[in-house]
Order: sequence, then C-alpha cells, then structure tokens
Amino acid sequence: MNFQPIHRIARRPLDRRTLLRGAGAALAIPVLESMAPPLRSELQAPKRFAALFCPNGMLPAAWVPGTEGKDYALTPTLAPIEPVRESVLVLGNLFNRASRAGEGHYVKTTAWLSGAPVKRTGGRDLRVGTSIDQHLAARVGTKTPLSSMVLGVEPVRNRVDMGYSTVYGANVSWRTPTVPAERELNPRRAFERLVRWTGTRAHGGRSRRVLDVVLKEAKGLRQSLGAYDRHKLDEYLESVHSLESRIAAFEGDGAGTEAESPALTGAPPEKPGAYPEHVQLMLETLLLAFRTDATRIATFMFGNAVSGRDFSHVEGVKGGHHGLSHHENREDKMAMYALINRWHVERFAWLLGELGKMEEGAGTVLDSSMILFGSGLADGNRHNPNDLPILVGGGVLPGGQHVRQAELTPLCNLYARVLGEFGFEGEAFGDSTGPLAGI
Amino acid sequence: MRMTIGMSCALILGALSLATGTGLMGVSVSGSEGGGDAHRDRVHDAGALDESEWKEFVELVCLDCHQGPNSKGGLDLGAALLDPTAHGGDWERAYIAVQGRFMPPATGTLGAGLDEDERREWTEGLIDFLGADGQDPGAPTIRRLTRSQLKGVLLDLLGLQVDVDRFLPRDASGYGFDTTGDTLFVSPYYFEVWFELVEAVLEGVRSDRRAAARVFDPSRSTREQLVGLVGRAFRRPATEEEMAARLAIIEGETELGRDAESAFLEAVRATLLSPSFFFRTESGTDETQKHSPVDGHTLASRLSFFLWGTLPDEELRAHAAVGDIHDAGVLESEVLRMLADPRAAWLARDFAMQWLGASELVDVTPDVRRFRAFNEGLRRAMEAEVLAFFGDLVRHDRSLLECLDSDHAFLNGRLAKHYGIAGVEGHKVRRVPVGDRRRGGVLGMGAVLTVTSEPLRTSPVKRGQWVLDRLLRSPSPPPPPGAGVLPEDDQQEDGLSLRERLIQHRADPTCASCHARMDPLGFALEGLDGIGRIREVAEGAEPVDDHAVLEDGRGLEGVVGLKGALLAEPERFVRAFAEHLFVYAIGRPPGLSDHRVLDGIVRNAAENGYRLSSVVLGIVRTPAFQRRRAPQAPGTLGTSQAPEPR
Repeated sequence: MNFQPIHRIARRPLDRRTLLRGAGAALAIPVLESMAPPLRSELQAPKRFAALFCPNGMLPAAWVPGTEGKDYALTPTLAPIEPVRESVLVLGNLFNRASRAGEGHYVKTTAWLSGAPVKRTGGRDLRVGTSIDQHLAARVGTKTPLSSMVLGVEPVRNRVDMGYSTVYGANVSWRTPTVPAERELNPRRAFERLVRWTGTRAHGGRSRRVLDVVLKEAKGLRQSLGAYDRHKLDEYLESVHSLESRIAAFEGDGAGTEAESPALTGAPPEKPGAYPEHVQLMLETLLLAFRTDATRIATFMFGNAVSGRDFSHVEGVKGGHHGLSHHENREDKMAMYALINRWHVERFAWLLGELGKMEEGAGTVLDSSMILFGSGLADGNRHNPNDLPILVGGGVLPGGQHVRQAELTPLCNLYARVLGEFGFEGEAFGDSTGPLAGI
Repeated sequence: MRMTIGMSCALILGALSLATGTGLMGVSVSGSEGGGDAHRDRVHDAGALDESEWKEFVELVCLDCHQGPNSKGGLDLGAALLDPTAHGGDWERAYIAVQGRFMPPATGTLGAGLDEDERREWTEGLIDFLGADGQDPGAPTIRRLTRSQLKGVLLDLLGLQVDVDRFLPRDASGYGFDTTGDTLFVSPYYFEVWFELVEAVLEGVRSDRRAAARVFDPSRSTREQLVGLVGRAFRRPATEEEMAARLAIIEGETELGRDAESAFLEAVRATLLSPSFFFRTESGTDETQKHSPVDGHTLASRLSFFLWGTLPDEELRAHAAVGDIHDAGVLESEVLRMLADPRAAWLARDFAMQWLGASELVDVTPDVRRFRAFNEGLRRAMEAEVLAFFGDLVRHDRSLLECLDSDHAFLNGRLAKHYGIAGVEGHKVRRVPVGDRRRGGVLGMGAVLTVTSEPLRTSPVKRGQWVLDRLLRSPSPPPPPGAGVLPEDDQQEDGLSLRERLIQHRADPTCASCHARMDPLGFALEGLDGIGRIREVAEGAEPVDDHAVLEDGRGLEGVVGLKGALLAEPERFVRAFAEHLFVYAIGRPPGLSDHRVLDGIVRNAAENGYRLSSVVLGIVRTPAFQRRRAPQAPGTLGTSQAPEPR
C-alpha cells in the first residue's frame, strides 16, 4: 500500500516544478533563454568535446578512403557524412600502443580514451588511466552544472572474461585511473538529471546541515578503516563534497525563472523500445546537454566491448555485431559488418547536423565542438589497435579532409591536440609524443 | 603415498602419457576420490614433502623458465623462493597455474608435466612453505549496499516498497558477483542519485499516512524511536555522537517551525545518507590483534546479507546483543532457521541468478526472425524456472547434484510448450517431472542455453566457457606467450562448418590452450538450440553433431553424456559451487590458505549428501566469514586481499 507514492513519482509524466526535489527544495525549470546571454557575452564560444565509442572495430576496406587530402572520395562506410563532410576530419594511422597486449576487446575499449596500459584483474585493483574526457571534465567542468555527461546503452555484465573484469568492456570513461565514471543508461534519468541541474533551487540550508553531519560521520569512520578501505571512503567523501559544492554554486546562481522551454518539454520514456530508439534518445540527451550548456564534455558508448547485439534491424544485415565483425574475409559477412559500421556513422553524421543547427553567437555549437567518433580496434577480425578508425567532427579542427599520420602515431597525440584546443597547449597526455600535426 | 624427489622426477620423465588422471575438464581438485576416510588419508599424504624437498621439486620443475630477470611471464620464482613474503602475489599466480594444469607445460623439458599426485605435492607443499595462517580472514574491500539489497533494506526499515532500479544504476561485479567491494564503485554521480533516491523515499513516507505513522509516532519518545531506527539502519547500536547529531537536526528543524514528523524525517535523511548505512562497516572483537572474530552485530549482519540480502531480523539482533551468536550451536540453528525462512529465496534471486548468468537474460537479444518464439513472456518464464528451481533447492535443502541432473523441472505452460512437454497449462510455475534426460538440471534450462548463445546461433565456445567457469570454476589460463598478438584472421573462407572451423582454430597452440578445453563442452550441448529447444538439425541444415572429445581423449555423447561426466566427479562440481558461494558471501576470491578450508567443506558436504545447507554452513564457519583483519594490520594495502603468508 505504501508502494503507491514512490511508484507514482517514478511513473508519472515529468512535472518539472515539483517532481525534482533536492533536499526538500523544489526546483524550478531551467530557462534556456536566460542562459543564453552569458554564453553570448563570452568573447569566444566555449569549447566542447564528446567521444562516441563503437564496439568491435570497423571494416577497413569499406572505411579507409583511397586518397588523402581535401578531395578524397567517401567510402561506403563514410558515405553518410556527405552532408557534414566539411565538418569532419578523417584520421588515419593512429595507434593505441598500450592496448596491443592483453586480449582482443576489453583493453582496447577501456583504454581508448586514455592510451594507458590495462591491469588484468577480475575485480581487485582495476587500473587503466584517467580518460581524456574526464581529464578535461576535472579542469573545465567546474564552469558548468555537470562536469561531464557519460552515457551508454548496454549494462555491465557480471562475469570475468579472459581474466578481465567486464567492467573494463563497459567503460571508456575513467574518472580516475581506478574508478570508472558512472554511465547513465536510462534516457529518462539522463534527461531528468539535466533538468535538475539546469533549474534553480529555492533553499538548500537544510541539505547542508544534513550533509555536514554525514561528512563528519564519514571522517570519523575513516579513522577506523584500513588503508585500502580508506580509498573507498575517500571516494564517498569526495562525492559528498562534490554534491555539496554543486548545490552551493547552484544557489549562488539562482537566475532561473519559470518560463516554459520548448527544448525540455516531453521527457523520454522510462523504458525505451528497441535499440535504435534507445541510441537516438541518448544522443538527443547529449544534444540537450550541449544546448543547455549543462556540460561541455560528454561520452557515449553505442555498445560495450564484444557486444553481440543483433543488428538485423539494419536492412541487409542478419546477425549479431560481434559475430559479424569476425567476418573471416567472407564477402557476405564483410558486407553486413560494413553496413553495421555505416549505421553508426549515420548516427554520428546526424548528431553533427543537429549541432550545426544550434545557433550560438554568430555561429553554431558545432563550430566550437570536437566530436570524436570511432573504435578501439581497426578490423574486428584481427583485433589490432593500429590504424584505428577515427573521425573528429566539428569546427575546431579543420575538417573536410582525410589525413594520414606517420605509421604508429599515438592516438594520444590527438588527445594532446584536444587539450591544446582547450587552452592547455604543450601538455602531454598518455603516450603522446606531441600534439597531432599536419592538420 | 609419500614420494621422494627422485621418484617424482622419475615419474615426470617417464610419464609422457601419464597425464591421465586429469579428470573431466583438466581441472584438478584436491580430493577427487570423493568423501570419506580414503580421501582424508590422501590429503594427509599429499603435501608430505618437507620444505627442502619441496624447494628442490620447484627448482627442478619450475626454475628452468622462471628464474632471474628473463623469467617467462615475468614470474621469477627463484626470487620468490628466497623471499616468499614479498612475493605472495607471484605465488598465487604460480598456484593457479599449477593447480589449473597450465603449468608446467606438457611440452618442453618436462615431457608430460605433472601427474595428479605430483601436482598435489606441489600445491600442498607451497601452502606449507608459505606457512599460510589458516585463521587469517583476508581483507576483502569494504562494500556498500548493492542495489538489490537496498530494496529489501528499505522495506525492512521503513515499510516502503521503493522502485530502487528507477534511480540507481545496475551494480558492476567483481569475480562474477555484485557483492564484491572492489567493483561497488562510489562516484559523485552515484551519490547524487542516492541523494535523490533518499529524497524520494522521504517524499514517499510523507505522502502516505500509514507509512508515516509507521516511521514516526508522535505519541512516543522521539529519542527512543530514533535509537531504534538508527540502530537497525546501521546494523549496530547507535553511538551517543550519532544520536546527538540527529537530535540536533530535529531541534534545528523544530526551531524553524517544522512539525515533529518533518523534523524527524530530516534525521532519517541524515541516517540514510550516512556512510554507516551506505557502507557495510564491520568491527572485530580485538583490533589490537592482526585479526580477530567479528563482533556479534557484524556476524549477524554478514549472515542476514548473505542469506536474506537485508538487515538482521529481531532474533538475529537479539543473539548479537546477548553475544551468543558465535556459539557453534546457536550459529548452526540460526543458519538453518534462515534457510528455511521464505526470505532465503534471496539466494535464488541474487546468488543463483548471477552464478548461472541468468541475470543476463534481460540483456540478450535473440534474433526475432530466427527465433520467433522468443518474447518477453518466454524470457520471464525462463527466469522463473531458475528462481523456482533454486528456491526449491534451498527450501527443501536438496542435494546440489540436482543442479547437474534432476528428474523434474519448474515450468509454466509457456515454457513447457517451448520445451515440448505436454500437459502443463497456465501461467503458474510448478514442478513437472521430466522423462527426457536432456532436460532437468541447469544444463537443460532455457535461461542458461539462451545467455550462452549468439543472436542467430548457438555458441559452443561460450557454452564451453560457461561450463568451465560456472560449473567447474576452472581458472582462466595465463595470457598466451606474446600476449596480444592474436592471429591475423580467425579463418579464411573455406566452407567449413562451425565445428570444423573451431577445430582448425585449435591447431594454433596459443588458441588451443583455452579452446581445447572449452569447445568440446560446448559441442556436447549442440543438441539444444540458441533459445534452449531440443533440436535434431543445426544452423547449416546439417544434422546436429553433439559428440565431443574431451581434452584427455575421452568421448561423450551430447548433454546426457556431459551430465554423466560431471556427475561422475561430484566433488569437483561441489567444490566449484562452494567457491562461487565463497566469493559471493565473502566478497573476494579464495586465496591460497582458503583451499584447505574449501576442501574440508566439500568433504563434509559429501558426507551430508551434498545438501545445500552443508555448504552454506561450511562457508559460514570459515575464518573468512567469522573473522576480520584489524584495520591497521600490515599488508592491507597490498594487491592481495586473500590471506597472506606469515
């Protein structure tokens, strides 16, 4: 009988004014217009970075353009970028050295954004490296309500494979070298979180009092723990602090009004239907996050490492993603594998198109974005992390061309370049040997 | 039989074809002779090498490759022999490799590797050499409540059914279970969602008069109610400081003019956000010692989370408070009481679903065109079968061997039709006798067969891996030499069948080390399709071929043959089951010194007809369950969370 209240909260359509309460304080809805002026007043539009990860590699024969430079011909897999071609940089010969060792998928997925070596373990002492998105989030994320948005579709599974925890295969985004950034898989939840943090808070004095007690108890408990467990408690302490400071920053802002906003009407469904719809909703959430400037850093995983998801919804494809990626050089399987790859590129191209419609200052949000798209391995039949399929969309890096680096150029050189674009010129990242050159 | 080094050596060199007693899947388990005295003698005899003999043995069989800076696999056992304490992790690696029959290799200077007696001498000798402290409970990482546990906890604590899944993300898992502290991550995002969940819980209480009345009764003493609530939430009596902090919150709220109930709920909020609720904090009885028995409250909490997934009930709390919960008789009767309680269905819902991989059913996507029969109703029926089967096993304390084979299944009309069993109608799941031996036991379950398949076809590799991991807990092999340089192509176009291609794949020695073990076990299950139906024709329209040749050359026919092979060595399966249950209950994998304890559990189970309760009691009685390392004990920062050498 007590089921009702919670259930109702969980189910009823979003009532933005009263549903999302934090610390007993009702939130008002965000107003995009009210947020626009500070954006426009900035001399330069803020930079954004997003990384879209595809599992299982891309068929090189259908991906790699035959020629370099501006006049390259689009390949079958890259064909969908035609409308946004001038905003896409096609990169070749990038290499993730550290992910050569180990096994076929997990290390190549989990180290995609860090270039760090991966420790083989079933659970204890997980270790990769802080990923580029989280590295950026820690440094530029304080300017937005959410430091980053980490999205996915497939939940983590409970098993150990080849001696590797599947936590590795489910995370490209690592907040620290040992703790993954928690992904949001539910579009409704992701949406509500955006609403929550782009709204305003009437009063938070009560939550602060409670959080003070909680922090004090955590500090007391810390004394009674062993060194290893202290790490866990420190994560907890950091989390409480993080929430407390965000609540405080939020109250300081206090600029929201209660006008309706077209962009935030209509919450996505609680349980998305088929996979394509789920992906679409997550990408829309990402767009919304950039549009509302809730965050400037995002990642999205189309699937986890070794995803065997059935792609028969794509015309001409019959079978699972991982299974078809092991095409054995059979024509039929290669064709279907390439069609799956192409489906992913279509989503990427669509996202760029939408970003290109978002006006900001004299240009669009796309102009100030770097949208990384690709996979941690090249050919799914070979599990090799050299000549990775990598695209960068947006107006920050010069698009409209296919540029091949020298063989075995570290993927991290791209991340060093991204860092430079965010104002951290000259900084190394992972195994970078310098910022990506020649573009 | 006691062997000298000379004899061992002669055996090794002379026994090129003697690696016979290798058992079903090449997994060696001490005590494969079964229960009883014969077995005990065996264990005593094995490991009878004294330290210098054992060291010579290691030098002879290991150091050719594993000594000095160029040691293979970076494993320098020469150094580890000189300073075992500093190389606990190396010895653990070596133990797993030898125990799992990956080392010493069958090729090279040693010919056929070790036979089973020698293998046992090696492993037992290592445990003696390290002088592992049999009472050391190890140091599993502190755990927060899992999402599944939180549901039950909130129901117990506040009488509220909360849709927790709506808020919290699914927990990751370590070593196969989400109860491992290492992968129960805490992040700013997670805490934010937790914070929001707590708000929704309080809103739920506020907006429901009956719930509100249960949580707070204005006619009773606030302090008294708070003591009870905080004590239950924290699974131990509240401290004075904790009480003072919460009473201060209530006072502050009251001064702001809030009513008594709202004020009290703020104290509840502080309790639900507190680390003492969020984490499963524990205490030892003597923290000046390296390790000591846990206190009564901690033990009560370990029991209730293990068997019920929630807070201790009143009876457990009473035993904890009186302090007699450590008493062997009380402990046993409490465990038996808990297993007989309906709340023990938790073991089916949480442990068995994860152990069997059935929790992945929600994520699988069999191809809708190939498998039109697969829909939400079928998925639920498959899940219900697992729950009912294991729930029945717990409730009636049946033999664990029923997991390998049983003369019944738990079906509703939908699943019975799917299995081709007539005479079962309706939605309700019930016990149904099965005559066809291809059904019965976990290998005949649609859930298991579906999660180990690809969208369009069966996967002998996945299924073989599943059998090795879930039913035999065979360790993962070390990465092949030249790790990471995987073969250029899986296969060329060649018109071979799946089976032929897999067999060819195994011609490559780096692939063979795993596939020679996995594939045959999967082949034996080829008579069951990608969603668990019995079939005569395989994907390529050719007749099903479910004949399998095991690594040791023995042949077996189909799932029935596989069941027979597994049943022929029951202690091997029960050992694996006990290890899974150990990981689930303790939150870490068994370490070197836990192996003898686990051997003992299996022995004891054999004498008790392999009843579930004997294994559960065995786990509860282990030092790992009963004791706790003092927080400041040396070595807790090391990579090994298992007991370490003295």
